[in-house]
Amino acid sequence: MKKIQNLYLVDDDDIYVFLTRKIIEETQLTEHIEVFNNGQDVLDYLKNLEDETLLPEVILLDLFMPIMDGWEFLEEFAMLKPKLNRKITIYVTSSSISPHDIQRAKNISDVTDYVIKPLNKERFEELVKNMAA
Amino acid sequence: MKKLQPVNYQALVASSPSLLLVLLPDLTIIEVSQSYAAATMTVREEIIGRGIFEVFPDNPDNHTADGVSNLKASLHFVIQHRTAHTMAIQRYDIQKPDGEFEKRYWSPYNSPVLDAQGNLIYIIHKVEDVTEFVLVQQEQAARDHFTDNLISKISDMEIELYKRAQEIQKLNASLEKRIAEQTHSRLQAETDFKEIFEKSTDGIYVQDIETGEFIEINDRAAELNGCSKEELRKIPLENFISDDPQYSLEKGLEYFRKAAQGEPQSFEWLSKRADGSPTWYKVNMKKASIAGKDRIISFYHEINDRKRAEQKILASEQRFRTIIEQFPYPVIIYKPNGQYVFANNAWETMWNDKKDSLADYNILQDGFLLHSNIGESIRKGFAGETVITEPFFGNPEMIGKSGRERWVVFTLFPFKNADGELIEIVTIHQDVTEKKQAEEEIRNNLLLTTFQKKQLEDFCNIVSHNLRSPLVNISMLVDIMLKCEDIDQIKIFQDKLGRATANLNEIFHHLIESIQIREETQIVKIPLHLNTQLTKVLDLLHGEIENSQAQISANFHAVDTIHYPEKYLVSILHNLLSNAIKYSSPNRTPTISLQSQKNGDSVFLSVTDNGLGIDLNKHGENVFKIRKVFHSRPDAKGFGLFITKNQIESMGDQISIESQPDQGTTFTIEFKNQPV
Repeated sequence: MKKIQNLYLVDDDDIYVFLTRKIIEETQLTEHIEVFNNGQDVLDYLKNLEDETLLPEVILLDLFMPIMDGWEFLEEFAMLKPKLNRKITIYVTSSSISPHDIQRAKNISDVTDYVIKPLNKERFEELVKNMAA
Repeated sequence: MKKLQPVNYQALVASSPSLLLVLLPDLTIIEVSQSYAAATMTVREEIIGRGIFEVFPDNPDNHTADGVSNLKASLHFVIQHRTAHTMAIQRYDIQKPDGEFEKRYWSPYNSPVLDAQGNLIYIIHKVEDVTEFVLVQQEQAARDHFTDNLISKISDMEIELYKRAQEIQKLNASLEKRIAEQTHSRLQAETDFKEIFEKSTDGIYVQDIETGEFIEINDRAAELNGCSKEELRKIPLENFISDDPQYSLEKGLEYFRKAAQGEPQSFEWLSKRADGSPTWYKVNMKKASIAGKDRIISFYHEINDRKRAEQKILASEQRFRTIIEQFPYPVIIYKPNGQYVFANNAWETMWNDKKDSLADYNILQDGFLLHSNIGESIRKGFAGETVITEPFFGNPEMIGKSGRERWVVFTLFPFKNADGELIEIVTIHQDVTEKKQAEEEIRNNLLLTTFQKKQLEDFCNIVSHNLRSPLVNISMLVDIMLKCEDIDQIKIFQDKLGRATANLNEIFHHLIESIQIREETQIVKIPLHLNTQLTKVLDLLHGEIENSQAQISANFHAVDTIHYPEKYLVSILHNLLSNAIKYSSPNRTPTISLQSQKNGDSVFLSVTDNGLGIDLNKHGENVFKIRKVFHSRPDAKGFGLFITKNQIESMGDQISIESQPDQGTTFTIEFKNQPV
């Protein structure tokens, strides 16, 4: 299975970030995990990035965050995307099981899938496998 | 064009070559021509304003003088008939300035001057001095010194005289004709009256004013009574009196007495015919002078048919009234001028009032009604249109009456007679109170349902997302701890588990708080002193205020009390103030000011800070949403404003926000329907 060079984890819940990072590292499918606390942080980072090799292949995006939430980030990202020289796969990962949220996320073309938290080892491996295919 | 000056008639008369005298109808001289004054040896200025006969009296030496009386007669003719009158040649001696009378002959002509309405305003008295002519005639015209000039004048005068003679002849002919006509018409009138009397469709009685004795009775009178004239005279009056005490003999005599006193009587009368059957009359009775004697003349017009029709109408009206009286809908009838006429039993029941209280009621003078939303409809109804009003809240107290309040719909329709004349306005009151209450209830239920639906959505949101978030962490931690054998690692997980559990607890607590709002929709409003409540909240926030060095000021001068549930007000103030402190700018001392204002029956309470502010263009719609956090603060949970808004809206009030990033924020709450 092809390894992911860069994965961005965007979430404000430090416990969840701690646990998820642990799970992803155990799969040994990623080289590097970058953590951001909200949408604004990741947006600023992407805008100022000079080394294209640091662009992520995958973003795991939480929906409910302070400053800039997942929804707002997706809007901003759609405008930024043409300038980015890499295909970026976005998975929305949220604790919300509201059908309204799930449908809304799936209707956004940049969102590849909606993952209900928690993200376990098997689910992550499946996501990576789908990406390669 | 040359402008015409008004004609100076006075000057015209005064300088006329004709002998003219202008008189008022009371025979005062008001103008005279100079030629007249000269001919009569008078001075114009002296005679104006004096009576004609004072100026021109008869010659006391001439015992046959008839000038004054003839002229008087002629002038009176003019005054009476408003036509001109020509007098025959008249001797009328003139008094000279020395008092002596000079023999004169005159040919006078008097003509009236009428105004637009035909009223006599002046008499023009025109004369020709024919003294010389007469004297010449008398002296056989034999004298030598008559000149051609005089002959010519005679000729003129002859023509004038001839014309006058013609006029007199015509006038005589017309007078004769008039006399003939009058004579004829008087004869005709007598014949006519006889004919009217005998052929009248009314029974006519002529009675002696003193004794009441029948002087004359016509054929019709006898016919109406079903007997001959002779029988009518013989049968005692009592026999013709009906059994109805309203039409007694005494009553009849009273009419007679009044007529005898010169007061014409007109009344309806029920009497009996000779065979005892009842008959209705319309009677006109008056005093009249017949052949020089005072009589009472009575006309009896039979009105049985009309009376029967009237009784039918009366019966039908009574039937109609009975129906309306028992009609299950409230009915009230007014005159076109708004005056109350009638109300039925259902009206009393509906308003829980007595119809007697309506006696002096006039709907159009009801000031309250004129200002209500149905005033226009009511006026249309009284103009003769059929109108159904909007539902209207009838509060009897407003029109100074007792009774109960009702929601009503008025249906007004005109009652017109055969000529299309508006007689009465019939108003049906439809009680729609229950319908209105049901509508009100549905509306309230809808509001409540909408509110509850929104709350339920929020609740689902809380459960599906906010509550699930710490649960996910806990379950993940438990999973990982079960697999982990490293004691040090487990300690780290335990610590995180503790935090995740605390987080769950906190969210759960907020959730309970939100649910409580839902259960407390019946929560009671009590008067709360704003300063007292603020002091209470400041005590609770004591620590935060101390740490932040926040300056808090309040101005409650405009309104110092609001009616609100105490728990909510404390919670609202607590949330807004703790937010203001929490999101203060690190570059400034936090300043927070509170102010109350009044507008109508709303009280506005604002909380203004100089803190971080929020970009409302970006976050406006999310400000009051649950778990919306706009700043990277570790203690920002996103529950405060959500709960505050929920509390405010559950009371039917509103909260709004104004904010500029890095300048500050103002939250304003509108508390509606506050007691004045």
